[in-house]
Amino acid sequence: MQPDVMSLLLEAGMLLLVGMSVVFLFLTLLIGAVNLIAWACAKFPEEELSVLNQPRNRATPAANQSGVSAPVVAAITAAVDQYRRQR
Amino acid sequence: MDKLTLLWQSTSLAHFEIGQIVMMAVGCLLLFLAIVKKFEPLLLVPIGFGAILTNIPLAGFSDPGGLLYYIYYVGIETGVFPLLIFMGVGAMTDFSALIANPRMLLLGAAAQFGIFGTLFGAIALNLVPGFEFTLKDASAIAIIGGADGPTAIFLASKLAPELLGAIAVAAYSYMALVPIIQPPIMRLLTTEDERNIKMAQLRVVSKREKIIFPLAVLLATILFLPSATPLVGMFCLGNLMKESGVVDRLSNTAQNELINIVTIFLGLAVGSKLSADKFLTIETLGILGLGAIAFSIGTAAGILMAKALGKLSSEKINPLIGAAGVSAVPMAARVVNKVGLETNPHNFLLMHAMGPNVAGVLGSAVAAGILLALVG
Repeated sequence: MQPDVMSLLLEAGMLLLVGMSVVFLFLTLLIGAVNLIAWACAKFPEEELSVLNQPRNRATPAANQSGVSAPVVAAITAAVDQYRRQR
Repeated sequence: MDKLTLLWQSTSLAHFEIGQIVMMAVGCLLLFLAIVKKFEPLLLVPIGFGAILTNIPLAGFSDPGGLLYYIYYVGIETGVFPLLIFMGVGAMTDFSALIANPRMLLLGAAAQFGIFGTLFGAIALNLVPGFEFTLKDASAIAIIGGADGPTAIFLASKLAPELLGAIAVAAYSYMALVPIIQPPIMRLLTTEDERNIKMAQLRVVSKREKIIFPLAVLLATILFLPSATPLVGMFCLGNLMKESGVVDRLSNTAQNELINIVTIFLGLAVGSKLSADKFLTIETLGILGLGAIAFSIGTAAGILMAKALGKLSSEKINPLIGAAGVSAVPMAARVVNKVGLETNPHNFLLMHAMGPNVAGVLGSAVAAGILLALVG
């Protein structure tokens, strides 16, 4: 019984060492992967964002420059929308 | 007179064994804890009720042909139910805190020391007469330290099905007890100054990073730890459904209807394993004790790792967040937040604790994969 337990304990000790090392190695690898993803995403920024931002930035100054107030723009937009839907 | 004897023989009263009555009382205790004390009610209600049903004499719920027998056979012996739950958990998990600060993965790794330390402890318990845990039994018990119900049930169903009832009950009870077990350890291992540390705000994580992350985790698991792919794969599938944003219907089903349905059956099936001959043993006491130790060791290891990390890195790290490394999402993170607020009412640690918290889920799934590969 006793020597049996001793060998089991030895095996459990090995599992402890191997298990913890593998967990750490694996999750350290993931840290690298996450950093890589972050780096790649920073290097190639999302296109959607820039597309979304551009027209908005252009629209506001254009409206201000021509001197048309915001409610009028909104009314015209709604009218154009309605016109398009009817067609 | 014959008929009268026959009638008497067909009642439960004639057939009750003391063990069955005790187990029914255990079932009622679980119902009490769930309904009155609100301990993990979603699971303890079906588990407690399943325990009552399975111990009814003559009804044969858990004999071949009985309802609970089939539910167990279909869902747990095959490992399907815990995996479906894992998919739902994946669909509910937001990894942005972890992606913003990936070093938190180390805290999730350190907390898994609770699992492997307890494995050692379970084998050492064999020195006490009355205990005879094999390496498989010990591994299944140790996974309680992962503080992750589905992972514990999955591993126990593969390695030690006869201990499943006790292991599942221990895992879910201790998860409910996280707010009681963790704070004393957290206060013991940290100084007031350390608990006061404020952490830098996390950066915003782009949608694309969140979509690539589950795929990267899956790829790493496929390459290095295929035995963990059932758990990690389903988890990543759920997470990808959520983050991709193109299958909202599937994502909603996975995190609501599906997980609810599976939870009912999973609870009943676990309850069906709470029969007197399997539960009323000295081993159950050992499992309950080892489970508490596993939790405490995991918490302590996470905190110590966070301290070490804080010393080594340029950014400040509040060691309290290490305690969230023992998955138990989101309870452990909330406990960290609460203990942090006790020291400094303006220091909100919840978002910082979510990083190690979800890292703990990955860590315990990885640990389960290692145990399956080495012991199973």
